[in-house]
Amino acid sequence: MTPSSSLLSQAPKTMRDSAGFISRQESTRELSNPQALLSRVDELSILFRLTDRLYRAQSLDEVYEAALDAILGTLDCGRASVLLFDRSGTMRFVAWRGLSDIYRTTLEGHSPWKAGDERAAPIFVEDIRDTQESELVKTTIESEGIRALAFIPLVSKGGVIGKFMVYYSRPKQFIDHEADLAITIARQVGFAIERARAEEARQLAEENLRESQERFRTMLEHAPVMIWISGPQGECIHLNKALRSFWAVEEAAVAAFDWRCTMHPDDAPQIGKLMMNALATQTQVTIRGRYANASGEYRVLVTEATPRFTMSGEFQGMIGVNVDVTDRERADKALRDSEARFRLAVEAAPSGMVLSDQSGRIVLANAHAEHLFGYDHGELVGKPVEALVPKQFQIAHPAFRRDYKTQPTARPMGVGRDLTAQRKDGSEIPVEIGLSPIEAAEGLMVLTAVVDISERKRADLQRNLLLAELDHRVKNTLAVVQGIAHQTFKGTNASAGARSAFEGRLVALANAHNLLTNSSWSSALLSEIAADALQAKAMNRLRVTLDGPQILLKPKEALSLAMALHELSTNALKYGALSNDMGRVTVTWETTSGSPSRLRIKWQEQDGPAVRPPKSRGFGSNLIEMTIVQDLDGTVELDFQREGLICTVEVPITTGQLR
Amino acid sequence: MHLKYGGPKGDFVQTASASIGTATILVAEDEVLIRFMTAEDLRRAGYTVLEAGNAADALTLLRSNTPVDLLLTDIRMPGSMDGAELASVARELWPAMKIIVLSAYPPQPPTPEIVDGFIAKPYDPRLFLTRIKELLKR
Repeated sequence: MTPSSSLLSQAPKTMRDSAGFISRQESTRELSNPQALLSRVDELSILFRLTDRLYRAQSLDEVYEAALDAILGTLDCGRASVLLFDRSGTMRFVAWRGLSDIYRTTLEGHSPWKAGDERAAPIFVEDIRDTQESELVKTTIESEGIRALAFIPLVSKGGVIGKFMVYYSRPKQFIDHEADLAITIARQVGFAIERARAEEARQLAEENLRESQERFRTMLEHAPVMIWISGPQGECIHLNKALRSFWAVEEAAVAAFDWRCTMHPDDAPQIGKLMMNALATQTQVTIRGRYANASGEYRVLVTEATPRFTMSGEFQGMIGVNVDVTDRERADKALRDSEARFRLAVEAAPSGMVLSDQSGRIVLANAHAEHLFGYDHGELVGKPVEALVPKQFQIAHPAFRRDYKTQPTARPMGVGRDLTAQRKDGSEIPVEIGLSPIEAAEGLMVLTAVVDISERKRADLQRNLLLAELDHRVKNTLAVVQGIAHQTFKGTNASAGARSAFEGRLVALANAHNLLTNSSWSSALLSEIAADALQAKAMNRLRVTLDGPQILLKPKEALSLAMALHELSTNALKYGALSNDMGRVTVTWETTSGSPSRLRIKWQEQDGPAVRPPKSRGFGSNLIEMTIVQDLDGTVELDFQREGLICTVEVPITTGQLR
Repeated sequence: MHLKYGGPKGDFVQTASASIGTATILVAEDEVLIRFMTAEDLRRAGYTVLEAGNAADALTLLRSNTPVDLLLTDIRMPGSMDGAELASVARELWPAMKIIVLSAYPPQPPTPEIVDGFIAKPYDPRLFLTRIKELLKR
């Protein structure tokens, strides 16, 4: 008995399930009617075509179409559909004939089985009205003009994957033969769906693989690093664009290209040894070496090579990446050299040098600094800079550091203040400190130069003591001279005025000494010299106007100008603008540009007694001329105007105007 | 009102309105030429002037019950005591007596507890006498 004749002989065995559906089990019966025999021949023919079409189907859609054709051709139903479980386990229409959208939409998901059920049997509904289905289902089915229908499970690998349905517009008694046909078609279709799905999966996998390989090839070709593939013996199989460009090798010439000839002769033995070992042991290797590029320039390449194997584990050669580290190594070396030079410069500096990082930690200190602060070699590194700050300032110091970061410029620290630093033993030393910001990869660093000024302080103190002693002696000598003059004048006919003039000059000289002593005999301010000459004589200060920039005078300039201004003020007190109650004296000065610059002082008297030019030159005039013209190489102009004396003094000065 | 001091600490007599020119001034100065000049300037102005060539002599004079209104002393003088020490001792013993330092040292801010003024050497005689007069008026 052939399978098909066996199917044809199946007899119906009806069972009704709890929902009112009828399940039919196979039974056999004989065919004796010739018409029926012909009909069976047609069915076999349709089944044969189904088998053939399913065998040739290239897609699931072709499977569905063949299935629907066979169902409609053999089961005389007029309408049919194929439904499959989707990934979520919902039964969905995948192909149909003669069904409305509303019907499919409403009943999609309706299934008597769950995906994967292993004991699913066909279900035949002779009249939907006789079932216990919901009214919605019944109404939907009847509205579609369907009264009878059958659920035929599609099985793959022992579990339900879907079903096909046949629909009849009238109630129908299903016979065993129809059930046999349906099951036969379902078996074929289930198998075909399984096969088509597997084929589609295979094609998808192949497509994915092709795309993956294409992507890999594209990445390989256009990667910004040099990539190569070799055979088991190290022979060149592939060079990507970057590597071909490095060696100027055409793509077609890659197989014949011998990269070994580009190796630097000094590096070739080591490179060869490492690469041969990696090939022999089929292991990963990293090689650094110099290779000549297309221009003949040796570049340093770091090669990372990894063995390649087939799926079965057969060694196929190596795949490697070459990275040109020439520029990086040069930059690293330049940086190292720069750092080494910096360290040498710091170490050789004649003062203590301390480099601190953003957090205020000391990262470098030269031997001078270690000695200065009493630390052993290397002991300062890692300590906070506050370790070098006197205790009373340690808490506030981090805030000073933060302030410095907001305006990091090279500048001295604590201008105008006496700075001290703390040594390891807690003692303090007077210092001068210079700060310099250094921009580094780690952030802003600060280079601090520290100079121990203990010796300078001692020297300054000593010098000041000597100056004070000298000043004392000079002025004591002047006082003795004053005493001698006093005794001398006493025995002569000299007037009291003569003694007074003499003593006044001595006092003016002593006062100028005082001003110079205050600045350790470095300089004196013209404004103070002038004020001393005029205002210190207890004159009405409102009658004296001094106006000019702050000019620093060297000692010789200060003494000479003090004497000249003293003579002018003495003259004004005796005969000029200050000899009455109304007169005024205005002293103005300015500097002119040039080298050396010149100082011009204008003495102008007003509202004093009417001035008459002197008939002869007195000692005062001579003294002014001697000090200004001869001592200072300047000029003096005395203009005895009726309204008041105008004296213009112009001298070269070597110091200058304070800003 | 004018105070005259004739003895150690607190031992003083009050005299009625002694004129400025009649005050007694002790000049302690080792440089004889300067001391002569200063003493003469003061005498010409009407003061009674006592002279001492060092601090020890000045202290002896002060302790001799000679009434002194003003001690005018140099700082640097020979002997075991200098002018600064003399001023301190004098201030301690005769707290109301005026004391002026007359020195060639750079002028220092006066220390009111010890001295009442400072006059730099060499001095302007006119300004010098004005300062003396003003101090004795206080």
